[in-house]
Amino acid sequence: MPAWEPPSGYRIPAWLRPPEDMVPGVVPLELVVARTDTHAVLVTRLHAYPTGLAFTLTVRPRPDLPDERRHEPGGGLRRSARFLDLRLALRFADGHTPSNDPRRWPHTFETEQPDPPFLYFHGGGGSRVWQSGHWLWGLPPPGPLAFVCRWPAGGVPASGVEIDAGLVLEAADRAAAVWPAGD
Amino acid sequence: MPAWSRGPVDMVPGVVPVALLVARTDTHAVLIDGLLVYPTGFDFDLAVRRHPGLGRHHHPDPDVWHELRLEVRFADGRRADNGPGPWPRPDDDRPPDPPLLYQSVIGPDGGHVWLWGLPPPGPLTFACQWPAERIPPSQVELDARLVLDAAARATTLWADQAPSP
Repeated sequence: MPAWEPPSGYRIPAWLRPPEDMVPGVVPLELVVARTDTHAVLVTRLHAYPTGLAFTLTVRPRPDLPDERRHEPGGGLRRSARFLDLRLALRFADGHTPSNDPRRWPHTFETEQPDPPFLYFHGGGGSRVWQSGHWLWGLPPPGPLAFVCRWPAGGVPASGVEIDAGLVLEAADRAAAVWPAGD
Repeated sequence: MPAWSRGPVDMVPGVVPVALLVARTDTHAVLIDGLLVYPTGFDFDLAVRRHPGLGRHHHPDPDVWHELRLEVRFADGRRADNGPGPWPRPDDDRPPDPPLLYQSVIGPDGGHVWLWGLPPPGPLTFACQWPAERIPPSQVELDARLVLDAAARATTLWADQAPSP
């Protein structure tokens, strides 16, 4: 069966993905945003670009517990559905709080460039370790940068971790063009 | 899942703070990024980038995606690759000798790789080639110390949990 192809000429808008033609600057951190007796929520693979920050939101189950203790329903679809209410927000020093809650996204985000910051994701997967690629369009200002999550279906209350946004801004400065102009 | 087949779920990995450009032609680039390290091995992404001037077109034949060859070489001469070869049976009693490379995702944009085993100090080489997309044999070296330092930063999520069987 041929692979699915997007309509001819379609390009994913710049505000919905990291730039393809850059090597990212790596933020030298792995973040434990929440941890309960049964699950941990991590933010990993923090890759910074001049236009934003890519990262992976990961849920890890405590491996030594049986499924019942983790309140995990059977079946892949039912397991995936329980991640639908996992919410992540970033809290900037200037008061902006971009969120991965689609209800907070502008209705025209697919066709019109939203004002940054804008936190986008498009699904996730994995039966036990669940992962979802996220893209923050727009960089945070200097100062504290908080990652805050809550996940009612997983029994995870509002939890968060704070880093220095300077680490993200420095990493963005280290991003480099794959094909520099003139090459 | 045996310990050698993936990174431990119950650990926070240490991150290697660099992304590597392994190959670049006028049309394509191959990156190694997302290097996450555990005491037993490391995860990373094998990322194919296309020049923006080409649009999003990629080769439609999945067999071609499998022909992007990656080899990881340790300073002591040991090596592992993603070529077709015998894969240890998960129920074997004895773990395979490291290094062992397993590419869990294969697609037009590259894939995701787990490497069982940590390198010794010295140069750690990532080499690739992809004849179908005219990417010649290319390689980049990383100081293995960055990987070993990251492994030392990995931490356990639940210190009180029962030991894995």
